[in-house]
Amino acid sequence: MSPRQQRNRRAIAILAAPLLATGCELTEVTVELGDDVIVAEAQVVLTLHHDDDEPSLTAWTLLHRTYQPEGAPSLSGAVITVSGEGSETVRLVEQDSVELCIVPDSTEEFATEGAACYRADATPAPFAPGEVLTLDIRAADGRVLTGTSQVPGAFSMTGLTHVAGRCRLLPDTNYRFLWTPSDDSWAYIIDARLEGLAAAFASRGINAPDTLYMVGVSIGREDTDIVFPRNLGVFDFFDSDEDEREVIRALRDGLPEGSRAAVAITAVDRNWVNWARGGNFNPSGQVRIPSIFGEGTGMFGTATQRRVWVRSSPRREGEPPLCGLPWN
Amino acid sequence: MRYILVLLVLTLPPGASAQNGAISGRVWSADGLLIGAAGVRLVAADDSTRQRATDTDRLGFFAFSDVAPGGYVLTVARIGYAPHEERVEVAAGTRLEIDITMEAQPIALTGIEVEAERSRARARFEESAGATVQDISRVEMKALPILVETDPLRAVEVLPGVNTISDFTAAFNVRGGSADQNLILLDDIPIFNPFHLGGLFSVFNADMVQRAELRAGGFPAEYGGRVSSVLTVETDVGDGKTSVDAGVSLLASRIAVDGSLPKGFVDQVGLANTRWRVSGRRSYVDILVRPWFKFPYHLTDMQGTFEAWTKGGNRLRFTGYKGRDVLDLSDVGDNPLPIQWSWGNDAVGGSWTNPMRAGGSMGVGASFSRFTSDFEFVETGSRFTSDIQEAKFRTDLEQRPTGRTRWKSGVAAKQLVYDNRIEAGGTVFAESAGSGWEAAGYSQIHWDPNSRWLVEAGLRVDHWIPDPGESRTTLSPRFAVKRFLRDRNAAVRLAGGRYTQFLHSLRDEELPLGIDIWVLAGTRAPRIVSDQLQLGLETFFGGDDEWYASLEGYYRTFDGVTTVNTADDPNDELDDLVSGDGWSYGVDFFLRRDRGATTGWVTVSFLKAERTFPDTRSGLDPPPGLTYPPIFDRRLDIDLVLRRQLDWWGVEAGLRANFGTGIPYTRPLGQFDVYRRRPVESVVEYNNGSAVALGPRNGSRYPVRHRLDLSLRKTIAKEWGRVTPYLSVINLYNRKNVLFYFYDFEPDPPTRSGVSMIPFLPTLGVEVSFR
Repeated sequence: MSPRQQRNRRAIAILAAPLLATGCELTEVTVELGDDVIVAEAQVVLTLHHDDDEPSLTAWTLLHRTYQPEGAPSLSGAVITVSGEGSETVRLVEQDSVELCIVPDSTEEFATEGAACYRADATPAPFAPGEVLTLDIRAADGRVLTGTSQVPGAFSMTGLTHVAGRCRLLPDTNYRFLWTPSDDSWAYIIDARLEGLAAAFASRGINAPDTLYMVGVSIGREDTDIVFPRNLGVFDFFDSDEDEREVIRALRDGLPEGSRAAVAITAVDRNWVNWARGGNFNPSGQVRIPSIFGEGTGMFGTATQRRVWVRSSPRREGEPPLCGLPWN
Repeated sequence: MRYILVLLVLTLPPGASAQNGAISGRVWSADGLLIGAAGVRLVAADDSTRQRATDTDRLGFFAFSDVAPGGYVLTVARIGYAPHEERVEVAAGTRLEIDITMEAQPIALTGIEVEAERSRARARFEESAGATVQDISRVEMKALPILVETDPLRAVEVLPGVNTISDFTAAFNVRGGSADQNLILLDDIPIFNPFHLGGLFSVFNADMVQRAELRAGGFPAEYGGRVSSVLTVETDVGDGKTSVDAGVSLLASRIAVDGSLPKGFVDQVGLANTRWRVSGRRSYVDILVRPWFKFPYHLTDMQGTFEAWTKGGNRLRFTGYKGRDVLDLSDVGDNPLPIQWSWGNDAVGGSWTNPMRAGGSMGVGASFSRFTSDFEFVETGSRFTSDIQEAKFRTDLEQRPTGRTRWKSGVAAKQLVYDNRIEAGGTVFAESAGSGWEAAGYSQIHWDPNSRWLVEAGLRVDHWIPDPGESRTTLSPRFAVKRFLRDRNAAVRLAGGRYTQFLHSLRDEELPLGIDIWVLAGTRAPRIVSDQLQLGLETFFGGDDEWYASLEGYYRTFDGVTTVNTADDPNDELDDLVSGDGWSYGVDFFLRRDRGATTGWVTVSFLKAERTFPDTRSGLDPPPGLTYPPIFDRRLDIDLVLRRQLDWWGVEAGLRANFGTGIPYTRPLGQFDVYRRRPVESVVEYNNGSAVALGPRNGSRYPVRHRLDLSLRKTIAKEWGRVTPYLSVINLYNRKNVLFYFYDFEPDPPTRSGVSMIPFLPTLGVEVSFR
């Protein structure tokens, strides 16, 4: 049994534990193969720079499929393009490894047959915030998938003091990050990659990993603030082991001295939100609301993003300015 | 409707009963109580096949009109009282007024119970033109096989037209309506979420229940607020004598005490009589195991009722209920889900009823009911709260202008307030709150122009003022016509009307356990309007009303039903719900035997239902309409309920057999990995789970469901009362009825496993009564 199967069964067991405990388990039987459906996870992110009016573009698409027996044909060789309202079109290039689309340390779980990764980067971006984009996927076996999305509007950070997007936080102190609303956005994802935690927490006897990923969410166009790092990690908490939970608890008081983080505030569109939050209950798995149609399913999400690099330090010398006023 | 009334009047034979007489009166107890729900029977002295029946209203009043002159035997039966019988003479053109006094019968006799129940059935048949009403007494509830605790709501599921989707919830569906379309009243007080353990048991302690009465359709204009059914749970206020009922089941222990106020005090304040009854129930597992570990769950119920009668027959009544479920996993070992969840109902109500000389009454009542739920992930501060409350005032006036007509009208005003909120990590994910005032008035007339026809007509007006939202006024006409056949032993009935509802539950009915989260009609959701028509045939047959059978077909439309919009725009606070419509039709057959060593009934319910909603799962904008059978679309449902006093040690046996065709579900066509995006790193991350590619919504069906349950009760009489040990077995032959299928497409070949409904489950308990 694969780790994924074990996790799926664990999820089922949690859901139905009281029932299974009372002898309610049904006999397992085999069923016919599931349909072979292409699943495309495509996203286009326009990154706004603090010192440059021109955004840059990062687009990536993971093509995978519903579970099929070993030997299912590869999804390599697809032609994937993103077009704007004008004549600009970006073609995504197939990568040598799916690990360029998927966090490497999660790929040990990755078992989908024949998955493929496609990426494109462009500076300056050929598209602008607010533009309607069209995705076109032509798989090597002839199947065609399409989707459209309106890129959320540009926004800017407010009350943030920085140098080239870099600023300093006082240790063990929370800060409120604020930004202006992004037109047509449905939510803001605030995620951070924290580094240097192992050394920073060592003196407190907390067995922290050196890097930690945490995410927080603001819902709706007008919800334009978050307390960092306190409001991050709510969803990560449930998937974490006890060591990581202890770290998340400690981080509610702020970053420890010496640690640093890359923080992204990402305004995301309707498609992104619909795919992430899912639909009604189904006992066999999560229900996703698609935005890619045709001979397959999936998500075509677009986003506008700003990044901030922060470092926790009590000293001013040689460090960037304080990001702003501490949050009480 | 106006045309139907005119047509009926035109078809009446003139002067059908000009020379007949009438009988009316009130039934009192020896200690001054007016006795309601007593069966009154009038049998011709010279021909026992000529008989009429009625039951007394809440104020002990009964009346027979259009009685042919001659001698009759008048009998009155009521549980707790010795049967009363007297001979009366009816003269042409006169009204005979009788006051009857019944003596208390301290020991309940089965024969009296049967007689009283049978009389109620006959009285309903004779006096109700259109409503489809069935009731279950406490005695019948206790004879039914039980899931740990005797449960009035679970007892209802064996009635015709009632359907359940799971063994794990006491929620029920009636004739194609969703569960939130059932109005559940405890002594006229609405209970918004009458369940413990997420639906496994109801909050009603059977020791406090006199009977549960379900109006499955055709209910008259006095009932509003829900479109599908009205379930009235009537509290047993006791007989005024001090007694104690206690019981222990595998789930909970309970006690009910009844009595009366001191006679000196009662006399001093000028009352004729008082009665009260209070009860408490608590689960005890957490207490038993406390020395060893912390058990995270307990439930409590407290209920009380008080009734006072004045010497003029006025009745004052108060009922109160408070219940709570507490699930506390915040301090249980290495629990990965440290949650605290507390939910429950609080309800209180009072009424005053004044009887009128010529029958009828005036009543005034007020009530307050509230449901609250507070769910919190302790570690993260994530919190989900839900709260709804209703305050209501009503007054009703019932009159009997002539011997052939009853007229009832009333007005009511109520305020509803709700507040639901989900928040986590400093972000409010969903929030809805609002309030509404409802002003309602109704007037209905009951007319029996002669011995062959019965006509009921009524009009209800509901004016709904939501905040936020626009005010709406709804007119709801109701009508019913009954034509008696076979010397009033059979009848054809036709009933129809419009029913309106101003609140919705967001509960996902596809989940086996859960609680109702209420929202009010307004800008977020429309009102539900349901037009209904039903046509039925019913008959008594066999000697002395041994058998009763009914066959009824119905058609219902539902406009304004809602479901959660899973693709709602966070920037639009009013699109959390989507509204749609639906319809259902079906046929219910009911055969009941009330006489003989074996009593019971069989129901056969056929149903077809559909709902149409915008398909927010499609991802298309705007979403296209999608029509599908709702999860409660069980096409065929058969219940057999039997009760028999065995020769073997005086044991009473109860049996329930159920067969139902499968309910619909949405079958996955495949599964795929779930990833979440990491925008800061421009990659995705495997997210420990699978998503499903789904087939047509509710396009597949689970296999047929069948089950056999058995109960054995032995009542041992003692000088001080009685002891009743019982054994109940659910699913005697351990049938694996399907609750869920889990499809797993990852292995080769793919597999399907799942979870069944309740397996073979014996349960023991004991009840003790001190008299």
